[in-house]
Amino acid sequence: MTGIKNKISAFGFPRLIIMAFLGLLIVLMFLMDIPAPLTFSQCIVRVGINMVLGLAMVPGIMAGTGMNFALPLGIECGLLAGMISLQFDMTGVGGIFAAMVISIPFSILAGLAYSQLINRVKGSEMMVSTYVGFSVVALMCIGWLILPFNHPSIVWPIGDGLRTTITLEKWYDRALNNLWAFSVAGVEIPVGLILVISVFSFLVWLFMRSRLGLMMKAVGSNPEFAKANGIHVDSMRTLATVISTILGGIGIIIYAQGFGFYQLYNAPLMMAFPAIAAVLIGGATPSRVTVFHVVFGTIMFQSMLAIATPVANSLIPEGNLSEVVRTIVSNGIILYALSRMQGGKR
Amino acid sequence: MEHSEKTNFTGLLKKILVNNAVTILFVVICIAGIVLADQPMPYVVGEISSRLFRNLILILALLVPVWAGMGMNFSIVLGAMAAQIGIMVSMNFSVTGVVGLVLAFIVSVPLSLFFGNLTGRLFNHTKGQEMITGMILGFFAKGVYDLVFMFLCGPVIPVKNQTLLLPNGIGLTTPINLDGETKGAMNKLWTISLEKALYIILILATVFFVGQLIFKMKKEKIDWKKQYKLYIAVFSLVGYHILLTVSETVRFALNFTDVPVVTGLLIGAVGLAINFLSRTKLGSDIHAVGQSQTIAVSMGIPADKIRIMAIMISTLLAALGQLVFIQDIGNFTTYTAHENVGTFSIAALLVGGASIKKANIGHAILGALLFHTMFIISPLAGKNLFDNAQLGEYFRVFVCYAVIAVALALHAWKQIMAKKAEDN
Repeated sequence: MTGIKNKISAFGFPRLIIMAFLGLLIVLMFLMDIPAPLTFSQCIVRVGINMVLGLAMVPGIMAGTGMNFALPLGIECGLLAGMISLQFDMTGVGGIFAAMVISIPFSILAGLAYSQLINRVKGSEMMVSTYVGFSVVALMCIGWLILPFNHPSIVWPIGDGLRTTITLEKWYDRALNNLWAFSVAGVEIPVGLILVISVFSFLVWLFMRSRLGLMMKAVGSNPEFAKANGIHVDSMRTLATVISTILGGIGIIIYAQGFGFYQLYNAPLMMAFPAIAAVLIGGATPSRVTVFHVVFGTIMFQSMLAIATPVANSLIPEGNLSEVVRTIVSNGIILYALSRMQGGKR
Repeated sequence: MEHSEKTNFTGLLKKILVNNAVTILFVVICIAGIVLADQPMPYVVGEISSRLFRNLILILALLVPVWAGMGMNFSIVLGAMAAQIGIMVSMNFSVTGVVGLVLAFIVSVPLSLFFGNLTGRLFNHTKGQEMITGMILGFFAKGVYDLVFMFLCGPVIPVKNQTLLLPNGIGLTTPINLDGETKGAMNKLWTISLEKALYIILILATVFFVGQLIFKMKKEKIDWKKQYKLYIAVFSLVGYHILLTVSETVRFALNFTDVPVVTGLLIGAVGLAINFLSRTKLGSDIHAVGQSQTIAVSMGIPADKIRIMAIMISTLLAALGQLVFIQDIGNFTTYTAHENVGTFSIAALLVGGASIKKANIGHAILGALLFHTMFIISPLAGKNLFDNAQLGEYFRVFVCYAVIAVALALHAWKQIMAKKAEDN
C-alpha cells in the first residue's frame, strides 16, 4: 500500500488528476458525437505549435534561474522578426525560417541585457522576470505603434501602427503544418511541424548532455560547488537566459504560423504561463527538468485544452468554459509547484 | 544612518536622490505631463482628488503584509472579489443605497477573512516566494470566480434578481450597474469643497501637534529644534492661505472640486486603525516576524499565525477598498474589475517611496497622488505630444509594470549586496 502511495506521490497528484480529466474529456468527446479525427488533428497542431515555447523553460530551470516568466521578452523578439519577414514579403517555409534567423540576433541582444539584471537579483528571479516580461510587452505596444513598418497589409489602413492581429494567408499561413502533411483515418499529420519541433527538442536534449549543459546543470543544482570547480556561475546563467530567449523567439514564430496569425500588443502578456504550466504538468519542478517533461507536459496540457474546447462548447454554448478551465488548471499547477518548492531544494 | 555625521551635504543629497529615485522621477514625469497635457486646472485637481478617495484604502490594504516581511500582497485581488460578491448579494436582494453598501460589506467580511486565511496558509508553504504565489493565486482565483459566476450562477446557484443574469439565465451579465441610489451613496452623504477640506485638515493637524506639545510640555522640556511636524503643518497652513489669496485659478479649482467627507473619514479611520495596530502587541509581533521569522519564533511568537493574520487584515481592507471604489464608479465589469487592483495599488505604493520591506501611510498617500496624476495625464500628454492618445495609454501601463520591476529588482539587488558586505 505504501509502495503505491510512494509511486503516486512521485508521479504527482495533480498530474494524476489532469490525466483523469483528459481521459474524461476523451470519453465525453465520443459520447457527444464530436468528430474525433478533427479534434485529434487540432490536438496535434496545438501540441506542436506550443512545444518550442515549453522548451524555452529548460535552460532557465537547468541553470537555477527558475521558470522563465520573462518568456514574453523572447516572444517580442520573435514577433519583431516576424514583422520584418512580413514587411519584406518572405513567404512559404523559407519565410518562416528567415523569420527565425532574423529573430536570433534580437534575442541574443535582449537576452544578454536581461541576464545582466537577472544575475543581480538571485533568489527573486521569478517575480522580477514576471514584471520584466510585462514591462517589455507594454513597451513593445508603443513600439508597434511607432516602428516604421509600412506594408499595407500589416499596418492599419487609417491611423498609426501595426494591426492587432495579422493574418498570415499572404505569407506563410500553416506552411510548416502543411509541409509533407498526410492524413490517417481523417487525422491530419503535420509532418513538417513535427519534424521541426523534433529537431529543436533533440537539440535541447543534446545540449543538456553536452559539456556546457552539464556545467549549466551544476550551476543550477549547487552554485557554490560549481564555483569551486572553476565554473563561472554568472556566465552560465547568462547563456541559459540567452538560449531561453532565442527559443522563445523561435517558438512564437512556429506558434504564429500554425495558428495563422501574428498577435501583437497585449497578446503576449500572459504567454509565459501556459508554457510554464505545461512543463510543470510534464513533471518538471522549478529546479529540475528534462526534455521528456516538456514533451509529455505539452502533449497533456495542450491536448486537454484542444479537446476541452469542443466538449465545453457543446455542453454550454455560451461563455468560454474552456478558457476558464485553462486558467484554473494552468495557475493551479503553478501554485502547486510553488508550494512544493520549500520541501525540495531550491 | 550611523554614518550621517560623517557625510557632508552633497553626500546626503546623493543618498536622498538614490533612495527616492523612483519617487523623484515620478514627480518629474507628473510635472512634465501636466505641462504637456495642458488641461484646465479644475479638471486635473478634480480627477486627482476623486481618484485619491477611490483608491487609497486599496493601497493602505498593502501595508500590513509588508511589515510582516511578506512583500507586496498581490493577492488583495481576492479581497476585491469578496467585495464584488458582496455587491452582487445586496443587488440580488434589491437592497439599495447606503444600506445596500453596508450589506455588501457585511457579506464581504467573512468572505475576505476566509480568503485571507487560505491565502496566508498557502503563503506559509511558499515562504520567500509570497509575491509570485500571490500573483498566481490571483489568476487562479479569477478562474474559480469566472467558473462560479459565468456558469454556476443561474443553473446551480439561484439568482433572485433576474436583471443580474444574462438573457439565457446562465451566468451574470457584465458590467453590473449599481442602482442610481447605490451609486456614490457613500460619497453623496456629505460633500464639501476641497478648499475647505484642505483648510480643515491643515488646521486640525496644527492643533493636534500643538496639543501634543502642550501635553508633553507638562512632563519634559521641549527641544524646539526637533518639532519638524509642527513647523511643517504651520508652514503649509500659512503657505496654503497665501496661495489661495494670491492665485485665483488655484482657489477656483479647489473650490470647484467636491470631496466626499464620509469616504474621507473612512479612509482616515482605516489609516488610524493601521497606525494604532502597529502600536499594539499584534503590531509589534508583526514587525518582529517581518524582521526575522527565526528570531520571532525563538521569542515565542507564532510566526505562521501572525503571517496569516497579516494577510487576513490586508484582504479585509482590500474588500473595503474595492467597495468604496465600486460605489464611486457606479458599475463594475463583472469578470475583470478585480484584475488590476493588485498591480495598480502596488505600483502606486512603490511610487510613493515604499519598498518591499518598508511602507507607511505617507508612502501610500504620496504614491496614490503621483501615480494617479500620471494615470490621468499621460493619455492627454501623449495626445498633445504625438497626436496619439493610445501611445500615452500604453506608456502608463508600461510605467506601471516598470515601476514594479525596478522596485523588485532594486530590492533583490540591495539584499544581495548587503549579504555580500556581511560575508566580507
